[in-house]
Amino acid sequence: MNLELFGLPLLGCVLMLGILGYLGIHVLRREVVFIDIAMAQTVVVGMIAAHLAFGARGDSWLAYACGLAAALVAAVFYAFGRSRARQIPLEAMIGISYAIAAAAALFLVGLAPGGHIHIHGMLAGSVLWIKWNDIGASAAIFGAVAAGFVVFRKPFARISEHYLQAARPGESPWETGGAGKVIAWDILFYVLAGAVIAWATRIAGVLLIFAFLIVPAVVSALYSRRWGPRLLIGWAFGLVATAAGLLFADRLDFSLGPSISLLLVVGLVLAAASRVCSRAVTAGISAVVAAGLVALLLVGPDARRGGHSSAYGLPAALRAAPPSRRVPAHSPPRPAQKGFIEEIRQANTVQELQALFHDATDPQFKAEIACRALELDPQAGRVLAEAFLKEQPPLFFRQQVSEAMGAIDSGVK
Amino acid sequence: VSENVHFLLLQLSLLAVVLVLHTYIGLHIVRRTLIFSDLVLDQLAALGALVGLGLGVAYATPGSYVASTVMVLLGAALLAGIKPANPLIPREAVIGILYAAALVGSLLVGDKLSGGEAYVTKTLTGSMVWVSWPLVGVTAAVYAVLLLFHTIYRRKFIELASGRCDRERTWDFLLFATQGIITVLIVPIAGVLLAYAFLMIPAAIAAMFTRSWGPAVAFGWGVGFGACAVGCVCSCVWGLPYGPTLVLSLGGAFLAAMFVRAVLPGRAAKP
Repeated sequence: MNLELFGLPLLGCVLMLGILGYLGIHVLRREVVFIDIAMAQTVVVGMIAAHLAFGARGDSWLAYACGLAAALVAAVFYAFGRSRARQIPLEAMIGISYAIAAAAALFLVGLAPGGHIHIHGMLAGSVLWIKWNDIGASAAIFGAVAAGFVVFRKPFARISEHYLQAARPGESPWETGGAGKVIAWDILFYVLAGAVIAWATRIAGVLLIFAFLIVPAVVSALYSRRWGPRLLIGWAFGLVATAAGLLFADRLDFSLGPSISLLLVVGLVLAAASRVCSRAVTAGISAVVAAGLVALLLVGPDARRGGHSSAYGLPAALRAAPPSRRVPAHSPPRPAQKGFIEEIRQANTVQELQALFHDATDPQFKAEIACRALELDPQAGRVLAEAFLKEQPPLFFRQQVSEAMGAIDSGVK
Repeated sequence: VSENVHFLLLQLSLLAVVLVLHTYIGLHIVRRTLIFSDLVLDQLAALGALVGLGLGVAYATPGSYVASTVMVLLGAALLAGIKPANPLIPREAVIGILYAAALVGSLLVGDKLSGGEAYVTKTLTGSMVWVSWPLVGVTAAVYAVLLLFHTIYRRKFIELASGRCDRERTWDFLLFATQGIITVLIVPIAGVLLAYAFLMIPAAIAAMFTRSWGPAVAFGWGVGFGACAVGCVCSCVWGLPYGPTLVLSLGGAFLAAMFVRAVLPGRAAKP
């Protein structure tokens, strides 16, 4: 495996696994399995609102703060909803809030040709492109939240285990102490969960975070009832599955997030089989999976380059780049992408840019090309920019090109 | 203008048909806390369509519908068959893992398809512009058959919801299969989100106010249809995106119902 390429993603996954493995046990006990998906979607709405209101970039701290504010609104909604509308389960409220938040995100971004790249990016994530500063920020955020979980472990665990009992009045204030205090503890719990989910989803996408949250917790529940052993089992299982998932993605050239999720699910099936089937059957299944992993190790990295299709819509110049360096949406520039952006920036004639524009299908590159063309030749650049805007690209890129056109018009540039 | 009115009537006719069965099935789902089973079946229908694409079957063709149906029936069998005995593992966790597996499958298949992301997204958003009278006819006919089936066997399904049913797995499979078939029909038109909202929101609103099945279906249908009609008109008049506008309209109705339920508790139906 390419350690240079996969070392940081592995470290990022370990950090996420550490906090999500613990949170997952709470989530299962509270039976709010889909909280992650709903919370992540709510945070996205906050981030889009930050962009529309303040022009904040998706990876800025302002966007994260607005995402957290949206998570706080969701936390208040869940805590009050659970207490005040007991006719329907909390999971129903979570499901409906997910649908509303997803619709709001689509509504705000405006579904246009090219928008699919962003939705795909949000689902699949881009953990491959994690950087050292992401690791540092993750350690700080997850560490702070973990400290909160340690300090308040007793009331959180009590509410997770016995909600109705905890909501009874007359308990000691530090424990839980009646419905009003349970609502307050619930809000704090969901805000802490939201802070982790908001940050982790930004790095790794909805799918991988969901898998880290649920699968290790379910596997650990198969072997123990106590919190301590469950945590250790979940972490160990998650680590092995993550390493195997990275290997799978590296050898067969699949996206990282879905690959790790796949191996987590495969591991869960094995763990469940070990509890249900006889030892001989379990050993047989395990041997087949182990043989598959050994075969992956033996397969040279070159074997994967054969039948890959250029699904990410990169221009011809980039298709020659190794498939494992494909560029997901919203990722920082990495070697291949950087090369293409350099090519755009170094183009000296509008004709060159037109050829690149014709080749590109990714709106990120098209927006770069249109802006560069406007710099070179405002009149010819405007034709290219208008052609781009007619394609109804996603909001961010539409604004980027519109602002460049506006700057040219007002003579600022 | 008449063309717009004609299209609006077409959409409202389809919505009126769709919402009856969705509200009824949704009530089962809400009362049994199988909230995200619909998302699993939606995602499996999408996976079926993507696998079909990989095999050369064009999207939204009869072949694609067959691929999706096979996949959702498999999903229905898994949803009905896997019931963890371990009290630490809620059934919703199994649903979550099946959802993750279906989404993993879709993304990995999408990875290897040219323009895969576009298809993954198309399955999320749907396209009401594909609505035509023949499609409304086919959908109405299948929905009528399913509605008849559920009317005949309503006692069995209600026993299932109250946990007093013999041959539970068989009836569970039939419930999930119904949900899967309506998913296959509605997802290419409405998309995953709107299909999910059709199923969950009217039923959740009704469940907040009554436990009787008949009045709940009628009330849920009425509120759901009213919210959808408002969404349709807003979408037509202001040119807003169709699916998100309808979901937000239904979401507004849900929030209003929650507010009414919290402020005016009345004779609250206990869970």
